[in-house]
Amino acid sequence: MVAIRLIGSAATSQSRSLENVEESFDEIVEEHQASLFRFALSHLRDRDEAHSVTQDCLLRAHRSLGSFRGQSSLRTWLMAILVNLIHDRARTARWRFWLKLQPIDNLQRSDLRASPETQSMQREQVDAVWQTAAMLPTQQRTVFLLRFVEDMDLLEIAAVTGLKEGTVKAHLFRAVHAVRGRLGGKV
Amino acid sequence: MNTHLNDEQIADILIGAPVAAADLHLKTCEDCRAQVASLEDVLGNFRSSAYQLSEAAYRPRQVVPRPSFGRLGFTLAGAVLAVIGIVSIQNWQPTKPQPVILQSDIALLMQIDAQVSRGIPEAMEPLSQFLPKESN
Repeated sequence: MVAIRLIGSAATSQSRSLENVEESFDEIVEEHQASLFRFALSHLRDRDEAHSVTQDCLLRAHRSLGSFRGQSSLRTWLMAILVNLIHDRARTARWRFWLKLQPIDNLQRSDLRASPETQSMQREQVDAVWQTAAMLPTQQRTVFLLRFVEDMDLLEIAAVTGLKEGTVKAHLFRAVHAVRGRLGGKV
Repeated sequence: MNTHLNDEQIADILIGAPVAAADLHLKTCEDCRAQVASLEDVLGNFRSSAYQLSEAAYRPRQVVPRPSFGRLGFTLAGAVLAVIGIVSIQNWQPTKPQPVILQSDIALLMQIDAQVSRGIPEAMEPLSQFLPKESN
């Protein structure tokens, strides 16, 4: 990763190393800001809060960029920071606004060939998944979204959350079970 | 005898940790294959909707790391507030409450003034008969 090489190299002058850190940070923001925001929005279901927590994540990353040793991927490292920030916010009661879900009416773009009835059924199914995700405990929702939105495998999810792989699997099993229960006869 | 995949096996497949036996069963059982495919479609649509939602809501914002206010800043702010507070206290003078003067107080004061102005206090008038009369 360019960022790691630039930071790991011995700079001859402090100004030069600081310049490299800023360049690396700009690249990191450009590459990861959108995906971090996507996960935050899926978890918090509020655009402004998602922006806020994404900004906080990137600022924290900037402050501790020098201490990143590359033991995990940059994406995993950033996502771990973001997950911690989201969990901190979820602990305070006032962030339970996620119960008010934003309307989902954007499936038409991907299902233009499906009949109106099929599109309606698909919309209902996706709504059911969003509602189920909203009702999951915070940690379980995190694991579920990392798997089914961010497409991370069990090892990556374990690295992001700090959980053991078996615990990640247990959370996912319960989440999938809840989703299937909610879908009921809709599948 | 149940020849289909159970909930745990289906969940294992969906979360990406299938057991070999479940994988093998899927190849031979059309019902289970259809059920798993249907669930995968739903989860795939869910993922697409998450992407579409974030694309619609995403506004790239410039992340400008700013130096934190720090202890020095708070110390200076506290010192400024303390100075302002001291100056304000020194210039503050409590307003003296205006005395409430009653009519009864005025009458009492006039009575006292009249008695004090008398040559012989009223209480001592009975004794005045014992005083020598002044000759003309």
